[in-house]
Amino acid sequence: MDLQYTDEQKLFRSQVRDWLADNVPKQKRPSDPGDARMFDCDWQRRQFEDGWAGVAWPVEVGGRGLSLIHQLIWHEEYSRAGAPPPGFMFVALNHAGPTLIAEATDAQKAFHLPRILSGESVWCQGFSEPNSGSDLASLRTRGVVDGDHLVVTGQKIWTSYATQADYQELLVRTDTSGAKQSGITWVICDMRLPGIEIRPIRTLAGDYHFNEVFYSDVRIPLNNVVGEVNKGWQVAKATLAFERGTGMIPHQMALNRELDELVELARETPRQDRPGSLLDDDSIRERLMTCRAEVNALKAMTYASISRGLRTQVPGAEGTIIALYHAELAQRVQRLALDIVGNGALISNGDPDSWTYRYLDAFKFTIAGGTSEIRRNIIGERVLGLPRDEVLN
Amino acid sequence: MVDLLPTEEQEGVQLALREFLRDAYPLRHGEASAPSIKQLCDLGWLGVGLPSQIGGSGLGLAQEAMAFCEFGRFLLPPTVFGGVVAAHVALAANKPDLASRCLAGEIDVALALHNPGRHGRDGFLLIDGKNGGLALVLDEDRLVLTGIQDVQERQRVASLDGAVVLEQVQIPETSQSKLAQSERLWPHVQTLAAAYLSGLAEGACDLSVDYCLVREQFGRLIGGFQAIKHKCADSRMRWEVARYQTVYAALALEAVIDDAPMQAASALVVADDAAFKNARTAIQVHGGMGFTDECSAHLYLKRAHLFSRLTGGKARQLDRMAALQD
Repeated sequence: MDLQYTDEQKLFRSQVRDWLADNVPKQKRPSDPGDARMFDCDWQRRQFEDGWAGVAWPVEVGGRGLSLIHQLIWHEEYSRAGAPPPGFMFVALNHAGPTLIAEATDAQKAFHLPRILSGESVWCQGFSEPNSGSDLASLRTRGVVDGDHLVVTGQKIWTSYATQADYQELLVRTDTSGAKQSGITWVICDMRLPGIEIRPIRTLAGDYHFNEVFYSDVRIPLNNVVGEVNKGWQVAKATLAFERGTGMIPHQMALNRELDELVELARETPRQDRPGSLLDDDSIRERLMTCRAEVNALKAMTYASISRGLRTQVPGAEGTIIALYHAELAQRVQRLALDIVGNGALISNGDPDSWTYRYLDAFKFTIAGGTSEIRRNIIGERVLGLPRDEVLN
Repeated sequence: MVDLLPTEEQEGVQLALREFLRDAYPLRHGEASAPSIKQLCDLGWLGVGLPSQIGGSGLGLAQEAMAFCEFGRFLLPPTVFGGVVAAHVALAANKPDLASRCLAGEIDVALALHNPGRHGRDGFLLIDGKNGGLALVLDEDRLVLTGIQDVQERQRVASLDGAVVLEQVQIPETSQSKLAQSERLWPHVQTLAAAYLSGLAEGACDLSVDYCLVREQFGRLIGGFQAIKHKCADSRMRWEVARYQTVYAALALEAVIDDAPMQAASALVVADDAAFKNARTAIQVHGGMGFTDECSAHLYLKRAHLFSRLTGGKARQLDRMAALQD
């Protein structure tokens, strides 16, 4: 057990810091989706050109293949430098890419991976449906084999980035006869194909982040199937957790920064009916310091997660614990923020840097990527060994 | 290299302690017991974080913290905390002989907590005071080891934690022999208390889960009911959070990182929270049985109260953090 970095690691950190200082874009990310896509892809390309793309990806597929500790350093410095989050490149870099690395053919990898790393192609995810959220395996979007094409009809929902995406990792049902998991196919869908209609959905935070996607007889070449027909569920599960704990770093550091801001805000805000600042208010101070303790603990959990990653390639259900902890902590911090902001919190102009926006946006944390109810089930069943739910399994 | 998990060797030490404690300190169905820690001392388990020159193993703060997690998990008496902290205080005060005697269990160390009562500023609660030995005054600003003869007006009172002997006493400042004192060990004390509470939280979680895997109602194990399953999941999350923050704090203290005191206080906040909530969950999932003193759940709850109070309670830690923040 240790918190010390080697001299080589310290040198690496300063190299990363220097490069980021010189290259992180100074301008703010545009709000218009088309401009934002360009911003995100340009930033990805800039990292790619200087050899910083795909820090966790194997060298064979064009990544840097950095060790986990080096990845940790990269992510810490990235966040510290205020470098922009991946934005429209998120699915490509963090989900589609890793899935292709694990399961795709050489030809598929050779075509898609370099385009992801260089910021040339944007991906989205076509998994959830209106009737298939937590119960994803029940999905019904149909794929029928017709010659050397898969003909897709159906609907997906919560598809982030769909309006700007070039490709989609799409799960379709190719067999209705057997168990629900055994009739699913994972296929790369070109988002420009005829028959695809995208309808944006407005979040309660006011932005058009995700979409519904409708498919009417969309003809996808069978060559785009990843893995085999009807073996898509295994492909979806095989997405190697490339990040092995590092994915939480930007979230933890952001929360830490937000807490710093909130302490300052409380310190500067006078109390209404008595002398002193909001920081002198017992309740506010207590809640702030509790969050501080918990955000520190989230960092410790992140380091533990990475330490586990040093020992095993196969992510366990423990990752669910940190995801759950972060989700609810983030919501507590944002709720506290509104109490510090005071009546000004009633102003909601959709500015992503505003506390009101962050508060509203944080509602997604206990829903997206696994609801906290499902997460608690997973922890109870897979970590504690409690009896599995007969209905859900 | 940055690594928050134990090496194989470090884990081996941990597991050896756990196996020893499981055999030597079993919980007897709800019975508050105060077994002797002499065997623990003889085997050197108090000295995990203390140097070999005084009879310790010199394995560092993180390993010591992990040992305290095990002490908490098996609800070892508070004297184990007293003995180890006394050894650290003695060592810091340049009294190596006194330190090694504490480690060997040759001197009883009672714990003294401020408690005004009749005696005002000189009033204390004495925990596990004997006829001989020392009293360790747990004061944030200065830990003081003083002779038990300095403790006056000793009056036995009934204890919430049935496994400890509790007395209301007077320890006048002027009469303290002050055999050893230290002003800089509080973050270390916080970390060890946090470790004990983290382990206690883990023990309470195990108790809950074990019961949920045997108790049946409506024709099935109660652990299969979502509401109960989710309570157990939360207990599991809470002790893990507390454990890792405690290890982080121990490592930060050892490496003398700037914000180590903040990390130690943070550890105590999350460990305190985990201990209480997990103990409450243990009572709750045991249903009617949980409300009796025949079930072990209440032991975790009552020990949590005691250990929380040793460092002033969660509110005090939050106050300290606010002061450190300024």
